[in-house]
Amino acid sequence: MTAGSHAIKTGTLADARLRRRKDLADLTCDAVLALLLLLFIAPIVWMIVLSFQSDRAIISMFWELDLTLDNVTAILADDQPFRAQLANSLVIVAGTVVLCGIASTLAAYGLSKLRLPWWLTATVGASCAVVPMLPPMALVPGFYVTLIQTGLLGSLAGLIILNTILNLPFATLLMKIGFDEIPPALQEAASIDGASEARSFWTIMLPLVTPSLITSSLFTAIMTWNEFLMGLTMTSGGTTSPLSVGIASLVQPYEVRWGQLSAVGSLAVVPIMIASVLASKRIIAGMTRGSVK
Amino acid sequence: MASVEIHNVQKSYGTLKALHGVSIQIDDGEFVTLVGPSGCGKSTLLRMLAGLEEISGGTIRIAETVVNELPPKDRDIAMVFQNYALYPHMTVAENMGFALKLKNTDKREIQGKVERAARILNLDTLLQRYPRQLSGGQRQRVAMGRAIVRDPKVFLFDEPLSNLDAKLRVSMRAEIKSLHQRLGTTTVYVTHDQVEAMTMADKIVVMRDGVVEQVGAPLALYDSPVNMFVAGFIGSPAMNFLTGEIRDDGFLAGDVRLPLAAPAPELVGRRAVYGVRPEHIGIGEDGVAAEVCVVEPTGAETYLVVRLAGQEVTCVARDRLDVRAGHMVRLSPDPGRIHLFDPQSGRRL
Repeated sequence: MTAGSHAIKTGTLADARLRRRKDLADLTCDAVLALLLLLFIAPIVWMIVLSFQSDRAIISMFWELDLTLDNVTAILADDQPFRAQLANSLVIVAGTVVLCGIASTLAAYGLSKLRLPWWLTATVGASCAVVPMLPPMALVPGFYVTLIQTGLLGSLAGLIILNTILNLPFATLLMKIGFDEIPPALQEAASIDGASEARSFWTIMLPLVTPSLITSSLFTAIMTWNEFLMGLTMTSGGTTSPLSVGIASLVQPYEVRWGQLSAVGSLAVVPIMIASVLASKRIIAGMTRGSVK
Repeated sequence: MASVEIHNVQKSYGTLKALHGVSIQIDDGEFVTLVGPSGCGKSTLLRMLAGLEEISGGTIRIAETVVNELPPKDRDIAMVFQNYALYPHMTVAENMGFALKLKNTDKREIQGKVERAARILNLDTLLQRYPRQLSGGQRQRVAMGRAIVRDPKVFLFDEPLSNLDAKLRVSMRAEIKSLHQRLGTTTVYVTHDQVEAMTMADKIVVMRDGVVEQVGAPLALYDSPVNMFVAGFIGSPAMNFLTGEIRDDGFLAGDVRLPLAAPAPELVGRRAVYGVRPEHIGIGEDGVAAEVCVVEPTGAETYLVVRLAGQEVTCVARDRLDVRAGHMVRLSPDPGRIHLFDPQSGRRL
């Protein structure tokens, strides 16, 4: 054997060893991830399974599988408020996404592209960062009084406005990152080409921030769908509240209807889970925009 | 087409003055290059011409009309940006036709103009592509296409070639020049690259720290720079400067006597800076001895960095030389092409 081939063989051996070590590391990593996934998914899967189990099987001392559609038909029955609550949630999410989308886009455009005084930009930027840190409960009294004064207490419009206020700071910051990434030269080129400020916003800026708008809208939708506190405090319950509040109503002092609770829980969780999974790539892309260049 | 008159134009950012009363006359159809180091105010001036920066003082006239207060869209100018500024969500054809679309031009007319410009710039096959699908050179051509489709009074170029590689830069340079010859539109071109300025312009404006140092034809600036800054900025490799004293039989730099065409009697005995371009130093049997420090062969020419009178001097040899660092060579600067400057003010003597 020549020295050259010996070297090659040693190299191959070292490569193989390295590959084996890498395989082992990958395997460990996969196993840990699978375990974590199980940990996160198990309660949700359990909830979905429970929603198709009879109450007897649920509270049984032993593992039982007694499949039934009773829970689902019960919560969708006419005398139950859940269908109305689902519709409420959908309307609130749609309204909030539209209102928050418009407001955050315009605010972010102003912050990013208009030459506003620095103190104004700094104040708005700082409040966008601070407001989400406040405990929402601290805002409830103020919101409550405002909604009474405006006659919006207990209405879907009131909840749409409150959810918009709660989501606006984050959505604005996210949109501002999107606008910041558009080179100023594009706007200048548009103004030289003859576009007015409004025209350049519509035809140049808006199409270019669409990815950010989609991200912030998805985020707003998820947050609004899951919102509980305002739904609870600003409505009188029953058919006026959103689905997130409806779930909690099934936990009563003398009885917990586990099967129905699970069925409503599934109704609330599954759509947003599907949306999140479909949109996860988009959300991560939007969140990390501008972080690495 | 139009003439451009920049009269005593100033620009201030708060207390900071970026332009101190700049005046330039640009004739109809002329290709003018604004050149200078980074931060000299050349891009600011161009942006003021475009209407993208406010004018703090003075007047700018385009085709005899004062445009100080006019928004960019009403100045009838087209600008090519350093980073091209193509609209990423529009195709090449849409990018080029955008300005005409804003003017509510007839669709068929837009298509005709875009196709004509595309033919001129060899973009015919790329009209339906998006900017991200194009190479740097193609994007540059689209940016130029967007400008020429509008048939403006003045073209403004803001360092349009600085993002391209060296080879492409040379070919685009020729393309822009031939485009100007073909269209004859008044052009203002900003660059920090003096080679670009020399090769393309009818007239060069050299700027430094917000002040115009010299305006003139490329070769006039090369042959008669008004001060050491212009002398050092125009020409590559840069002019050599040696400090010493003017004598009636030459120039004394340290203990080395350099050749000089008979100086004016009033200059004899005065301290000065001896400026000589690398290409005006002969290398041969005669002349002053100097030690070679660095040899840089480029193929066509060889650059020698030598030590002369305690200072480093660059010279260019057209022939291939068999010299290495440490060798001695003899240099003979051409006495007819020597520039003398005042060491304090830097002005030409």
